[in-house]
Amino acid sequence: MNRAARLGPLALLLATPAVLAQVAGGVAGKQLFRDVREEAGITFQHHSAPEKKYIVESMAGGVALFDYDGDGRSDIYFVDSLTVESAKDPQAARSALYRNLGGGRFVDVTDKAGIGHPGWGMGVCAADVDGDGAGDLYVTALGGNHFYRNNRNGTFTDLTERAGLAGGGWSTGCGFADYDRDGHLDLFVARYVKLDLDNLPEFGKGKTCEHRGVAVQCGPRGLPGTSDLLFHNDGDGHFTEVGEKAGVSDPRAYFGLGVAWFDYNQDGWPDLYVANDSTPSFLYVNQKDGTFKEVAFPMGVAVSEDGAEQGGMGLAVGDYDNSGRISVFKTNFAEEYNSLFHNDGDHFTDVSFRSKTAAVSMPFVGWGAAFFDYDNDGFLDIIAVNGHVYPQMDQARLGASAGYRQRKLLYRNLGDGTFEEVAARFGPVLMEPRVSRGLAVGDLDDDGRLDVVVNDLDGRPQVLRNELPDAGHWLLVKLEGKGRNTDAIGAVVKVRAGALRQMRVVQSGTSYLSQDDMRRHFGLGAEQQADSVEVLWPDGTTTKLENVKANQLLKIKQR
Amino acid sequence: MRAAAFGVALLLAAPAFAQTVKKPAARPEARAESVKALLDLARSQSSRRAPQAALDSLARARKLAPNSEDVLSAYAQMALAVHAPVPAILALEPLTRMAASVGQYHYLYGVALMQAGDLEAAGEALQKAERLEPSRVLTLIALGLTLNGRKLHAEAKSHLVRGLDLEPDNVEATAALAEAEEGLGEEAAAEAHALRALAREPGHATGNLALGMVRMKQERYAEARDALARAVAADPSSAKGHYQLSLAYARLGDAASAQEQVQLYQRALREVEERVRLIHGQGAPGDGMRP
Repeated sequence: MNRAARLGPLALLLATPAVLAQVAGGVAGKQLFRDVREEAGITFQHHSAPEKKYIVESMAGGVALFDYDGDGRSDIYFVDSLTVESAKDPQAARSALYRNLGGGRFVDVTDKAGIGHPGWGMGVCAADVDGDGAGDLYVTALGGNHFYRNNRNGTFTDLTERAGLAGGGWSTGCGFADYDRDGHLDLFVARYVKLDLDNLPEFGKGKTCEHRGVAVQCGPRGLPGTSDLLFHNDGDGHFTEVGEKAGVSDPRAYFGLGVAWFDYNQDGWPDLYVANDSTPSFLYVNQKDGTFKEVAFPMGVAVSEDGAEQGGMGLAVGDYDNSGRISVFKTNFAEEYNSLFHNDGDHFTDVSFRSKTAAVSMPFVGWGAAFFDYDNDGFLDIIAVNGHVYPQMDQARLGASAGYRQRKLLYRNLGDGTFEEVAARFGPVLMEPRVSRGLAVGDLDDDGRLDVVVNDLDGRPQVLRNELPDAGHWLLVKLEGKGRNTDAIGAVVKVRAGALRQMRVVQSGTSYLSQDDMRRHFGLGAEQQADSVEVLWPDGTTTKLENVKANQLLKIKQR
Repeated sequence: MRAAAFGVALLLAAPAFAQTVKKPAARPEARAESVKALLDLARSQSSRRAPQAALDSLARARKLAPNSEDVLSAYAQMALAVHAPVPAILALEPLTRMAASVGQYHYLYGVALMQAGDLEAAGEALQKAERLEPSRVLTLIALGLTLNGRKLHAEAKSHLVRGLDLEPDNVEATAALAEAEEGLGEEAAAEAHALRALAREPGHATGNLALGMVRMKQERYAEARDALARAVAADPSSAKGHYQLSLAYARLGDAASAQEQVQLYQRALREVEERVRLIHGQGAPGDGMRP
């Protein structure tokens, strides 16, 4: 049901211009997000070389929201990066873990946690891999990834070698899922370009190293791609790389970035979507026998509707039209448009233009993205952060592209399958041009309004506290799975409240190289309660609760 | 590339090459005789529908008079007629500098770039043509097609509506407008305009493509398949046509045909990339493609 229909005839009687402006998503200057980074005590700074002469200096910056200390609050981990100049000194970059103290305050606990120096960090995903109830962390990097096991005492141990999870090469997106449903979380890692730091392609030299008439970094086209990795959890603390055997190794060596595990065909088995840069993206359907089949072309999610190979970066998956199916949003390079692929059940349809999300995105290079209901009206909105890869863009002929620093996009879901881009309505915090990369969404202050954390390339992050005054009612659902998958990764939560039917998926790894808060948030609009909350657990069992009061954190434990 | 089919249509719509080529200006006797003879020969070959032979004759004329405006112009038009956009671009690029105020050359340059797949550069050339010769229907249509190719459908629509105001029965403009409307999500208008164009020219590439896209969104896959098949038959170089046809086959459960169309689509895509690479390698303006 669309918003107008839900409001009913009374709304028409009250439809003065002022009321209409409110209903339409807020008047100019109305506060939605406020950047509270400084007052929260977050001093993290991402590093990169100012000129970005090499592609590896343009792509990093994941961020994770996860509760590392089990106090119920979402903590933040920012990934930092080296540069070609500092590549041999891992201490030159410092990733940072911030503990959420509550009351809007955070404290840097990186040194105690021991996860500050994963090398040339790229992205991050989280999961309780060993089933001890504490969130572990996987950090992707250039030259070897890191698996940090949470010791449940504020510290982590680097178990990368023992677990067999180093990977190597240039890893980017990652995500845990139990793809073979053996009860143990497995791990997929996308990889990007084969790069030799001692033999880098020379800046501006060659046809693939110029853009709009100015010299820029080379790649990814013209550089060799590299395969992706699937690590099967052997259940004894060790993983075995099975990408080729499982059919997800990417033998064509496309440029892998964003990763999303989700069961697109609702057969109970996790499928996998990989956003590839400048090449067709992949959709792997789970064959239920430990292997996957790549079906992106016949499913309609490989390329744009014109058949153009897009520079796929970040991913978000969600049931934005409350149809009971999970659709895909993918950020792309400038002049390509962000893709919205609607899940029609047995295939996807590119509805980017029809949904009115595409045209406004054309000037921007998109990265982190999320489906999230920022106003708690029961419909998933979308946020996407942007920023070019070439600082030299500011000296180039821009054409239809924006410059190096770019604003964010906030799409308000109108409830009829279309969106309205409303960032400008909410003041400068979303409109300020920046060079953003990772984005993660979660409720940092447990007030039922979703906050957003953004990691910027070569700059300070943003911690965007949601302060929308008239947001609707809400539910925050925290699942606890039985067995080793305590996060219930892969579970589906369905909420019915009045006319609203919503579903969410519990995911590890999302957006651009980032990790959302795994608690699932539901906006309930004017509904004071959810008529039902149903959980479909990864093992196929279900839990159903009825008449659940709104505005609470609901913890559901699998029996 | 749909522009390939469009280029031919434009040339046919324009005054015939045989009539448009001016007599060569006075030059040293032996050389002028030779260039003139070759131009005459090309004209004759063109009128006998032997465009490749005409192009060969004009290539020989170019060797004798590499900077002749008449020769370059004739050569470029003939290259476009045989779907050879890169040689056309290489002839037109100097021509647009030599005769910067001649709108027709910028127009042809834009069409050639569009045929080659460099849509942004094509748009710039066509904008120049539009500034030099405002409200020329063919330029407005070409601009509309270029903007459609860049997914700038609202801008495309405004040019095409202007073109149709000037020439209401223009099939190219009607079909391109249908494509713009389809891109804007205006399915009913897109369907009406596509059907109107196809009533005049049932095999029209852009008209069938637009109708096929509309039918896909209406989930009328068999009709979409038929329209898209007509679109790629009219323009086999259309990557978009082949890709959408692959989706239509996939929806109809014909995996083998879907796969075949994916391969044709990929081949068409690589050909466009190769042409654009060739243009850039030859010093023509770059597009916005990421390295």
